[in-house]
Amino acid sequence: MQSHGSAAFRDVWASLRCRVRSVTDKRGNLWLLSRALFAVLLAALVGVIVRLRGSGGTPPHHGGWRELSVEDLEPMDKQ
Amino acid sequence: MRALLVGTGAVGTRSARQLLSSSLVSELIVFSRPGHALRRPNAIGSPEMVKAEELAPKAYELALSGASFVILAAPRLGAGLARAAIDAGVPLVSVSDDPADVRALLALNDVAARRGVPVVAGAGMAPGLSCLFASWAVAGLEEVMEVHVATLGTGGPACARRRHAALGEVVEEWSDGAWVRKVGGSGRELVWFPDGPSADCYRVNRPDATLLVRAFPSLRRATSRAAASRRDRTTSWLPMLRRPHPEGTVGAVRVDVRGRRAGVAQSVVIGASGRPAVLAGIVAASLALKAAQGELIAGAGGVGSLVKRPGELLAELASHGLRAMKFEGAHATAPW
Repeated sequence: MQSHGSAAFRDVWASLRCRVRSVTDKRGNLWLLSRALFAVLLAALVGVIVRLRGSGGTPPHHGGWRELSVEDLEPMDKQ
Repeated sequence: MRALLVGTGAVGTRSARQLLSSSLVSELIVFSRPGHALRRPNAIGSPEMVKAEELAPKAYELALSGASFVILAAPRLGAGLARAAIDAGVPLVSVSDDPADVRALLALNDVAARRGVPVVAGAGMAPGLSCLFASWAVAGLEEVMEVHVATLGTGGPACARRRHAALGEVVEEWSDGAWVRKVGGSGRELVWFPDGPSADCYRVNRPDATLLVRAFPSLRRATSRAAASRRDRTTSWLPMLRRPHPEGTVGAVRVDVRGRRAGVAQSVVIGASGRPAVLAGIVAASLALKAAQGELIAGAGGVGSLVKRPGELLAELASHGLRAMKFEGAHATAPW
């Protein structure tokens, strides 16, 4: 059983190496590099979009700003 | 009173004008960095009161004798000039919002306290006015738990460059009683400022939290944010792509203080709007005059640590044109 398993693994490995070799032989290492670069750029683009889109919340629907007078400001020191 | 001012940028000139409008100041010596000489000293005040000089150790030390206070309105000059001022027994007010400058000044706390000299670190719009607002709001609470500062706009070119860098730096936030490192430009929150404008604000590397935690040791959380556009955030890791404006126009600061009063959770939201350089100039000049009159606590610290009566100072700032505003009618609901 063990020898069957290892033989199968060797076959798969050999076929993978063969495929990679054929790819690099046909199109060259530059092709792999350009694909990796494309993946990195795509990830960066998605990151930028996720980071920039949307907004930080909703403004309050009630209330407002009131200017503080000297009478409002000074008594706080005495508390 | 003889006043010394180091720095001739937007905040420096606004501070100078504020000082010269006071009847207490009779002479103002303005130091500029070598190569950044004040082109028209007369533009900030009467020629018989203003004297412009290039910053040099000997000239500075000579001017310190007989000076009532120093305002530092130039970044990355703090520690050396502050040490000389302390040795001469002259109070110093620094407007820099660079965390490195603030840390350098805070390190002089023991020396300043021994000499009985107040050294105010971060005395601009934020930190500065933000810490003053926080102190005022804290006075009305029994227990303070959180302070959140947000700003809109910048003063002069130095402020704009600093904010650009601060958006891309690591930020230290005070969270649950410990310093936590966060990424600058993260943590978006929509903040509504006085006089209308609302803007998305993000974490920035500014020393507000450091100064607030020193002033209010019971704080559980302290954060600092600044309004930024999408372009600001995406380009924060690059050098500034275009020259900053000579002086910012629209600006605002908003402070959200949370705590308890009579066992009930309370939130006080207070702020002000105006040109950031003008606000910073008013704060720096008023603090310097207070320091010269012996009304600040000796030692190095932020506005929240050294000002004895924040309400009185805010009332004084109001007489110089600052409009302090309070948000009423709804609780601050931002989940900071």
